[in-house]
This record gives sequence, structure tokens and C-alpha cells, in this order.
Amino acid sequence: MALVCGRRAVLALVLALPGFVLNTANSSGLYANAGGPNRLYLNANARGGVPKLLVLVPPIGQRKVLGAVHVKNVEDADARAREVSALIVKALVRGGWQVDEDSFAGPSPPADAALRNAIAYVRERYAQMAVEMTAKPKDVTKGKFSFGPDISILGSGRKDRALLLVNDSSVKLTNFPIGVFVGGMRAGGMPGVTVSLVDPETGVVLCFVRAEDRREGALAKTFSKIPHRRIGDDR
Amino acid sequence: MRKLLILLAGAAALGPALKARVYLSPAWSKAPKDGWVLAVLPATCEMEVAAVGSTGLHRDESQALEARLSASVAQALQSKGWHIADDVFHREEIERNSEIFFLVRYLRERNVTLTERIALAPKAFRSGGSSLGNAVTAVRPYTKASILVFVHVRGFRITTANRILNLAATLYYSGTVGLIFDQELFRGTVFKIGASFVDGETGDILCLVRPGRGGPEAFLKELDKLPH
Repeated sequence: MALVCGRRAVLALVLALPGFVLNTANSSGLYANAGGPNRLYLNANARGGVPKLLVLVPPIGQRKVLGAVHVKNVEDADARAREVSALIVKALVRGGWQVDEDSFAGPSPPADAALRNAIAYVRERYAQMAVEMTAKPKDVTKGKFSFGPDISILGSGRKDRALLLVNDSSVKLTNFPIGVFVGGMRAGGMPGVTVSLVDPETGVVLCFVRAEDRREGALAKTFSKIPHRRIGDDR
Repeated sequence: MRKLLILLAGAAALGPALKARVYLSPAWSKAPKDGWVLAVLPATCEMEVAAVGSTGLHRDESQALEARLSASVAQALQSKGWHIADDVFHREEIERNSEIFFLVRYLRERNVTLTERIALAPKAFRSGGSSLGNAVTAVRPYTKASILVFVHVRGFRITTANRILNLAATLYYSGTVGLIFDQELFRGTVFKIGASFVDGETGDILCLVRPGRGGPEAFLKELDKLPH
């Protein structure tokens, strides 16, 4: 009996090893490569260029523990999302983009209640949309994902800007033994960090990036592939 | 024979999982419900046509169902003895006022996100603590209702191509017995309708009718079972 249990324990350890190795690689921090290159999906209608001025919408953070969402960890998740967002902004600026961080995501929220509610709505909608876009990224290229023209309130009537949305829905690694399996197996396939550029007039998603590789250089290289047009150019 | 029994047991176990189910938070049973006034917010409906390889939204169908469902839910609740607020904002009023327009949209999206989370971990919901947050208090100036009722629908219209694929998959995985239980195969449209009862002051979700794969009639039947 003891021999059988011993064999099972050895087998369990052998099965856990790949997950453990992947977990160790994945838990090396925010800047780690989550298991693949970054993926960029550009809307066919945006090939002419995306406005060079981007307005950052407060980033969205959702941390999951073994498939169930850890509701108590929301504040922690938002702090991590802000950290990821700062990294993405840095990479964008390095790639020649201009990012306005203070209009919506600054220290003081907008005084206008309608604008404040619109930002809250866009953040909440994007958290769901990011999952759908990760599942069907090719639909981004066909222009199927949109927030609708109602969000034009965020554009303030200006055509020379696009909204920058960042979502971080990573899986939190736990000390629970099954986390070794689940976290390891999910390391390559989970949504992780996603970035989208949205036209504030039409609400259409212009481009979608799955930021698997969160090193600054790799991010900058990915963002450099997005065609941008200078401020003042005609549409 | 043994395989047949396993298939039957599996189908019997799967049946209730596809039905709508009511979850109550501890606050629901404690609260005195006599003074409650309910406001049924306009329903959200996402109608998808599940063709092979892509999905498309059917806006006309969605809007028709949205308009019909909110009224039906209000009527069903009223017939059960609940007080329904008549000052609830209508679709036209919401669209005129951009502040309330985005507030209602935000609350509805937040509710859908939380519903999905609760469906994953219903035990955590039963111990309380699921809340839409303080944002609901912004609704207070617009309605006298103490409880907000959110209704959300996700519909899939099944095409012939999908039916053929489903048939092949059912035959492959569960044999002919599975066909008897795979009702979706013979239905034109599948609806997943759910509802949440939210405290208008704290934003706590008091009751959740988990989305199930019945039509509007099955959903209204589930509402009838709510303990008053």
C-alpha cells in the first residue's frame, strides 16, 4: 500500500514539474515574458493611420485565483494595472506617440458627472470586450468590435486623438498545490495584458494588442508597427 | 447497458445546470420586504447569430426583446405582490440625459460582470459581499425605488450550419441518446436570461437569478418562485 502511494506521489511530482518550471518563469515579475511574442491586430479601416495623440483611460485590473475572481483583491489589481499601464505608456512614448495621461486618469477625476460615468462605462465594457477580442482577435481587423458612437463625449469633438485602453487580467499565482498545475498550464494561454486604441467618435476599436512580452523594448517594437498620423493631418 | 446508464445520469446531471437558478444573499432573508419598491431598469439584450466562423449582432431582434421583456418582468413581479415604482426612467428619458445614460449603462455592465463571477463561485455570494458599489446612489434622485432590478439577456440564433455541427458533435461524443437531451439542436433560438435585485442605497446584490437556457417564459416562472 505504502509502495503504491509512493509511486503516485512520484508520478504527481513528475506531472507537476512542467507546470512548476513555467510558473517560476512566469512569476519572475511584471516585466516577464508570459510565454510568447506580442500580437497586434489592426483594424483594416485604420491602415491610413491612428491619431498620434492618445488619451489614457484609467487602466482596468482584474486578478484571478484559480479560475475564481478574487473580489477582495480589486485594489491590489488596480495598482498593478496602473504599473503595467505606466510601462505601456513609456513604450509608446519611446515609439514616438504622445500620451495624455491626465485628462481622464489624472489625480482628480473629471468634474462633469456625465463624463465620469462615461469613463466608468467604457472601463467596465472594455473589461468584457478584452476577453471577447482575445477569443476572436481576427474580428478586430474586420472592425466588428465597437463601443458605439455614444462614447463621442470622451472625444470632446476633437478628431486628432484616440483613446488608449489597458486591461490587466492576469492569474494570481497561489501557494495552493494545484496552482502549480493551473498557473503553469495557463501561463501561455491566458489573456493577460491587452491594449486597445479606440476612435472616440465612432467607438470602433482601431487596434488591439495582446501584450504577452512585457519588456519595454518588445512593447515599443510592437507599437512601432501601428501606423500613426501627425496631429493636424486631414482624416 | 452500463454505458446507457452513465449517459442517462450525465444528461440528468446536466439538465439542472442549464436551468435558471435563484441565489439569495443573507441580506435578502433578513430584510423586511413589505416596504420595498422595485424599479425594473430597461433590459439589456445581446442577440447573436451563431454562424460558422463568425458571429453577428442582430440589433432589431435585440431591441424588440428589450422593450418586451422589461414590461413583462415588471408585470410578473407586480402580480406576485411586489410594489413596482412607476417613476422609473424610460428608454427615451435615459437617452436624453447623458449623465443617467452612462450611469445606467455602467451599472448594467458592472452587473453582468458580477453575475458571471457569482455564477463561477455561488458559495461566496451566499456569504454576502457582492456589490455594485456606491455608484448606485447616483440613481436616487431619479427614482423613489429602494431596489433596482437588472435584467440581462444573451441570445443565440442557431443556423443550419451550426445545427449540422452540433449534430455531428453530439453523435460523436454521446451517441444517439444524447440527441434526446440536446434540445438546443431543435430550437431556433437559445436565450440565457438572468436578473439581479440590487439594494438602491448600498449597491449590494440581494438576489440573483442565474441565467439559464430557457426562454422568457421559463425565466418568468423562476421569478414566480422568489420568496416574498
